[in-house]
Amino acid sequence: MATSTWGTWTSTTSSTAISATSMWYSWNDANATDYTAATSATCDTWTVWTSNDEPMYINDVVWTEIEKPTHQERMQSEILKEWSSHIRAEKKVEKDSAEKKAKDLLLDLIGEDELKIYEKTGRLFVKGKKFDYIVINGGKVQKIEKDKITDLCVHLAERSKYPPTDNVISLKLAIEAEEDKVLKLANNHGSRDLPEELPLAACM
Amino acid sequence: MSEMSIIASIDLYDILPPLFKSNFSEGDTKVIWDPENAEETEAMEELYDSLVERGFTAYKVGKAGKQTKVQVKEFDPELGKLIMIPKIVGG
Repeated sequence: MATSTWGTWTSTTSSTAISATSMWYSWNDANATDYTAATSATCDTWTVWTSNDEPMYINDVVWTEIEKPTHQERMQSEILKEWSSHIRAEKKVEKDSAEKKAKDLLLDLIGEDELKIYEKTGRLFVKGKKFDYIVINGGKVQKIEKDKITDLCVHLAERSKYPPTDNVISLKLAIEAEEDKVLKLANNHGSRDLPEELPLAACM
Repeated sequence: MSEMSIIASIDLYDILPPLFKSNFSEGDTKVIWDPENAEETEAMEELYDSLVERGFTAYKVGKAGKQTKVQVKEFDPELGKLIMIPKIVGG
């Protein structure tokens, strides 16, 4: 393939000029006969492309025709989309209903006023025999000591199978009844100074 | 009447005694039984044992936290309100 370059920038003549409507006039690959310029006009264009070499190509552009889906394939795809969205909606209803049940169970344990705070903050204050804790609905547990807070990671096995509040209830019961066991299981994710004020949390 | 709330996943359905299968639902499953009813009590004892075998722990609780939560080591039909929770792990 030839490696010609544009040689001259012109408007309507072969002389170098710059104007708002200038066009490439002369193709220069050291062979002045390689081109035929457009006729003089306000907006010149190439009319004939010639080369002494092989025919010129714009690299290797390959045109392929994308096969259009058949009507049946389109229908299948629509049905699949519809079905997936239906399944997702159904799962969400199940999850919401499971979480509501978990909150009803928590209501039995902490009462209506505290449940309102829990719903607002997603945090439950739990008193152990040794330390206090904040169990967070997202899955974290914070151990509160006199001068520091420690992030612990401890939760129900296969946590994702349960609504978040079931995890909170389970940790609350386990901490209150078997704090040492919970502390032994928990992984310590680091401590920091106790802030002046603890975040709002439901308690009992 | 005694009451057991079981925090369990779908697997619970398989181990629920036929008598209480209809109680199963996503989230916790609540089973209420009459300690005076021998058939119900026997079914609950079987369920309790199979849950403990699977790593569940039972806690006796009272409403609005008025009673101390205690871990239950043995099934007693007169326990009142129980919550069974699955295994807890460190993350």
